[in-house]
Amino acid sequence: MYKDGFCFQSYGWNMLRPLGDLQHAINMLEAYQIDEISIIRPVRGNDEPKGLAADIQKLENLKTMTPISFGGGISSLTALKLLKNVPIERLVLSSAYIDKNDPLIKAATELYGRQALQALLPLCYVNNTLSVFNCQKKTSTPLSTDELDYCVNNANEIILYDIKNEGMNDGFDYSIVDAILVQTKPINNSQLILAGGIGEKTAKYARDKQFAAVLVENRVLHHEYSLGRYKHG
Amino acid sequence: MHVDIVDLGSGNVRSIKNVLSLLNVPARSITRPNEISSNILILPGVGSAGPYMEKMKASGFDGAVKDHAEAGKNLIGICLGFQLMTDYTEEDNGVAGLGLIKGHAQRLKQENYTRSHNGWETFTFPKTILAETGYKVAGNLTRKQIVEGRVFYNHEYGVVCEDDNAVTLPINGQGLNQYTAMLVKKNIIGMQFHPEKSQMTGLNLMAMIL
Repeated sequence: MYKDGFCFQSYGWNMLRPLGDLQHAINMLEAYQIDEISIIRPVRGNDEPKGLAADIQKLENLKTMTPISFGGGISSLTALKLLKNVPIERLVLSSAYIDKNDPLIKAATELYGRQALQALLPLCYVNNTLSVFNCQKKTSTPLSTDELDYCVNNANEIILYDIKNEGMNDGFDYSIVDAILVQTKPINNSQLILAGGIGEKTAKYARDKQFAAVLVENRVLHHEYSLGRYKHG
Repeated sequence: MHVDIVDLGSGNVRSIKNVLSLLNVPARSITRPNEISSNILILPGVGSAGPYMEKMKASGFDGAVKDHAEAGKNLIGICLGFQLMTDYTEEDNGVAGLGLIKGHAQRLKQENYTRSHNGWETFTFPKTILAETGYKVAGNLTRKQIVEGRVFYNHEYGVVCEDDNAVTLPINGQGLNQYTAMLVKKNIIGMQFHPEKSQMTGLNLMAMIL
């Protein structure tokens, strides 16, 4: 998670624990030869254009040889144009898919290629109904088949983000996956990415099901920033 | 030595510049064909073939890139840049390429469905291929004779090479080895993967071919 120039670990889509400077975080992750780094701005209906522009400007100066996906707050063509000089390989869009923003998705496809687009769906159960959180509108609504089908047809990958268990080790709720697979037309498992509460067991579950990937929270950076390191130092 | 990078407003120009700065190789991103002054030109590419080729034609870079290569100067194409060096691509209902490499870019297919290829595959490149094809390296940035590791792919179309004058390496991915990972043809190199985002393997490879 990245906002206002700093990295954060997010818990339950609510609490943010600061983790330090972006370039430093990237350097740490690159040292571990991570496959890909996802930089997501935690937008909760309170995003300002100046804040987005400032964050993007910091991203332009990022030095890394690891693939980067970026998203959070890209909800208009104006915002998309700001990404011109940013060294990213994949674009993560959320409300654009929930709202079926065709012009934005078409423009993003032309700039990055369809293979680079990821639809992020922040999911949780509200009154026992699987609901999706619209980050721009700051509202949760029941996830419709229509919304899901739109993601399947217009995104290369769909990130199923368990917001309730975010930050918890192996907390991901597998019933979310079951609900998704029932609700939409037959989907290739390689189109799905799991996020929110990922641990070793969840990673194994995803591997066995042949999902595309899992998004692991900043556990690596916890080690780097933990007090234990200073005690031994 | 310096490197020119074609900058059409989309693509991985910034990432490529980062890699070149790690190798202490000066690089310029150029927006007009008459700015080309280096013997090494990089054609990066991200996005859809149709709009990208339209930008190339509108700016005159299509002719300029061809002239550069046909004059015997080094041309390096990455990802979409590589695909557009062929005769044509199937993307966007068919887009004519620059015709520098005999072959075409085809939608990736596996069994009954089309797919995209996103992720890492193993890769080995022996330096001897450069000498075999007559590719001349301008710098002397590495003494490595072989690059081994993994490289990063992110594409929906793959190059099917039909050029007898080119040496090709296939993609080491399940069901993908009919597509070209890397091609060397005299003064032209094409890479389907992104060396600028392939960590140390990518860095070592760029050091070898510049």
